[in-house]
Amino acid sequence: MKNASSPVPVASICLAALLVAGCRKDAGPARWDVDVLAPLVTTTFTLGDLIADSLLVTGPGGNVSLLYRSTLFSVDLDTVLRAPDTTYYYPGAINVPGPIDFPAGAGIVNDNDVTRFDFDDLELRQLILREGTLALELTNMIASSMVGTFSLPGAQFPGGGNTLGATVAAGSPASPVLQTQVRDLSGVTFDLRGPDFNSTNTLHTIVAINLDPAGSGAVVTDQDSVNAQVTYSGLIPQYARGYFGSRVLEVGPEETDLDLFNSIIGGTLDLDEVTLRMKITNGIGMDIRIVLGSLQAVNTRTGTTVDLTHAILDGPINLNRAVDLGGAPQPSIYQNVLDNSNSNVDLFVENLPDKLSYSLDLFLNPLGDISNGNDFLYYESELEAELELEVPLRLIADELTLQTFATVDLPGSAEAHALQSGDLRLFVTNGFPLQARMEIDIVGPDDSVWENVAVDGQIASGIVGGDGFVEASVASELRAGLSAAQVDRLYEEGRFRIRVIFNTADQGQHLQLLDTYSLDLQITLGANYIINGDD
Amino acid sequence: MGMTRIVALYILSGTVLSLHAQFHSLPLDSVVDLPGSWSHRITAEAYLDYNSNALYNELPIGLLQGDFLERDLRERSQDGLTGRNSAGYDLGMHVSWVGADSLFGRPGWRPMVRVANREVLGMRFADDLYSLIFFGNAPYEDSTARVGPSAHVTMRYQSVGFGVQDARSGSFLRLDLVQGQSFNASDIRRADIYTAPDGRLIDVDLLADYWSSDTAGSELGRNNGLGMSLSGRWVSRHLAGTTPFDLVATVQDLGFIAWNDNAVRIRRDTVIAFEGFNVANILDLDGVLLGEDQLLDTFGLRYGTGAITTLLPFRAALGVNAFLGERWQGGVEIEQRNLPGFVPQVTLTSSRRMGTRALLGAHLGYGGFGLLRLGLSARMRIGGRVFATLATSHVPGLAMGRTRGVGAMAALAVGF
Repeated sequence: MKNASSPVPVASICLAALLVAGCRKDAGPARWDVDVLAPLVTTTFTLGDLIADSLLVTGPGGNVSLLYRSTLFSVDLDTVLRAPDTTYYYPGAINVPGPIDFPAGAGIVNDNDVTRFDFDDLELRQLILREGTLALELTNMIASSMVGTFSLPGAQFPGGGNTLGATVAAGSPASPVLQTQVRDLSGVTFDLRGPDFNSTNTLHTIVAINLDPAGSGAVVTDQDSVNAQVTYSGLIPQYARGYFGSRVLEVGPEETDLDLFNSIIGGTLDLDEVTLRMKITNGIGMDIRIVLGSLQAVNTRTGTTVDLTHAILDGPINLNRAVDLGGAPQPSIYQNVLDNSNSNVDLFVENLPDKLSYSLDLFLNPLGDISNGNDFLYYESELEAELELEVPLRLIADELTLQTFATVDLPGSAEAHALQSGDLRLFVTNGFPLQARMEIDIVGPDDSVWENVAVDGQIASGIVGGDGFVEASVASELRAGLSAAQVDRLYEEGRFRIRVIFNTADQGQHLQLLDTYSLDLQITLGANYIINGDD
Repeated sequence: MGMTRIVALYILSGTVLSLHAQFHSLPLDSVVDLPGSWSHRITAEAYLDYNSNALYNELPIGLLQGDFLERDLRERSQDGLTGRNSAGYDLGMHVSWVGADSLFGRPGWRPMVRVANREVLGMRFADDLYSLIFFGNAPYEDSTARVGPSAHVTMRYQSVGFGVQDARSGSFLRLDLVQGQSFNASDIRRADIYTAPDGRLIDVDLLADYWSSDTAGSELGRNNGLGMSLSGRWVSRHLAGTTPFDLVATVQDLGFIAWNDNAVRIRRDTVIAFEGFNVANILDLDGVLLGEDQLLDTFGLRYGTGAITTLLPFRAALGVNAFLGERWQGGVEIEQRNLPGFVPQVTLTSSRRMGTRALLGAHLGYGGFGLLRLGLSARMRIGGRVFATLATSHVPGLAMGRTRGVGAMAALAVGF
């Protein structure tokens, strides 16, 4: 079922019959222009509309502060420990021409050996795997089925047993037969001290390949062979213990995005007080020293960079190792507070950065193997530096410019639309200690300016009392005319770019913003509208 | 010609009033129409009659042609608004057959069958309704547009009817089965729309009903409802001195249509103060829709559905027609129709035979949807059995856009 066919006021339903009668012919509907005057939208603007509620903290008296948390950098398991895929070969053949007649059950390969893993500078004594697989692939060119076993005396599987076996059918040099057996290594514990418990990164292994005891034996020449290939793949540690080496990791220069000031595209912000808390968490069982090379606030819009100055940039940050609780790490935490008194953090923030740039060196085990090979890490272990920025919104705004884009979903099409021209009227009741003016442009898909929409009037500031707080709201009226050409632009994929330029009412003192401050806005439209113009 | 001959001609004529009940045309004439010379008669007729007491013809013509209606055109009709404005039209066509005499063995009784298609509109509207629709609400800034009381009905339907005609008097009775094609109507008893300065508030005080047949479709042949109607005429003959005259009572399409369950309706008795759509965040206006759905929701104009039974736009008339000489006839009729905006309409008619094959007539009417109208009509016999009729309900309307009312009728009849 279709409902009413026109958005014109309800009274039109009476004459609609005449329109229906007149419009039903092939000539199409008649059109005429009318002048409409109507309210469009109402809204109440608060700080929560500008800054997410999750970033706002209200203190005593309604004072509002900005509390922003961001991760500066993090170092996780991959950086410290990598377990590459590893493959070992175990060939089995006779070293005389032959032929030699082997009875059933005779052994061809019997190799009591070790597997050495390449963990770079790490010397691991124990490794518990979170994920991974072990594949045993037998290739048989002997005319008897073969039975192969691969034992890991230094491994404990969750289900018990530490042997992987496979039987491969008889083959020949011309047509070898392959058989593969795969076993999941999740939860497996490797003792990497080797068979004599005095080594590291070493896993005791035993490979044995025999002629099938249930078979009839085989005649073997030096052309015949049976090979075993063992592959460890996809190894992800859940836990590792050993000595992680003494080395230096260089991090950066790197940049991390900061979206806090994205909507601000111009002007200056003078903040009365800024506090930046740096919190570094070490979840790795290893001493770490951080030498912070630089920490910069980068404003890519203005091209301005501000280097943070503080004692932490002059000397190293020593992080204690985490404590192994036997199932999870207990991280060590380092904290430092930067404020106006000990740093230039206010200038750092007032640069309105959209990126933070940093570089640092991580010294692992700077004092050597002081744990006697008991460094550890868990899958969850990480080294993370967090920044917590707290800014009481007590400020001086000077031409502080916020920008937003709005695509208005208008009825009709570029070829035919009812809305011809209009006059937007904004009625503002401002309870902020900020005055503002608006700039409206119509921009294209590439943000190039197509049309400027002239705005008459400004938003007056609320009346500020002697205590610096707003005593009364002030009403203002703004008008913006939309010509027919500008309306056409909106139908050509144009959209509004709205800039609001703020100035605090008193440029001589910082004014505190309260959570009770609000701005009431109503927008009305006087427009020339063509009935049936959207058809 | 003596009085006896006049009476004889009158009786022979069978009927003295027009068969075109919706359109004031010509009566049958005993010399031109040769009423006694045929057993069967088939008639095809089409007509359009538009009238208004306020709107100049140029406005509905522009609407019909899909023109852009310039402001001065709309202003001319606005200047003619009377406070009690009405307009309407009647558009129809039908084919009828009247059979041989002595139906059921009764002398003078003839069977009749009629197939018809009809579309009507009637409306009355306040001055402010017209201004609001054709000029918008901006001229009402800081004032109230009172668009009620206003009402309209538009209806399209087809019918097939079977009846009996008394050939001697012209009286008949016919029962029609009616198929409803489409219908919509409104009754705005009160609608005060206040526009605050700068458009900061639209305040609507509304008491109105709206009905419509199934909106899924209304094309010709669509069955959105079924009904029945009764049409008839009763003719009583008298003499005033030596002048014969008839008293005639006519009713047409007295009946109903029951529109199906998909018919829609809405009743609003409410006061709405609209200050704009409330948006949560003015900085996030993407996708704000200035469209129909939001307005319908805001003003509560969503329909409910259900069967509706409506009366047909029937017509009732009383008239007198007299033979004023051998060649002249004259009469007066008062009629009323069941359509909003239609007030009793009085029509004076006269006709004169020209030779033996042609009949010319004129009528002067006042009321209905409009004001004073002057119509002309002519009928000519072609050969012995074919009769062609042309008429207009308002002569100036054919040539002048800046007059009110226009209409035309064409009919072709064959007797055999």
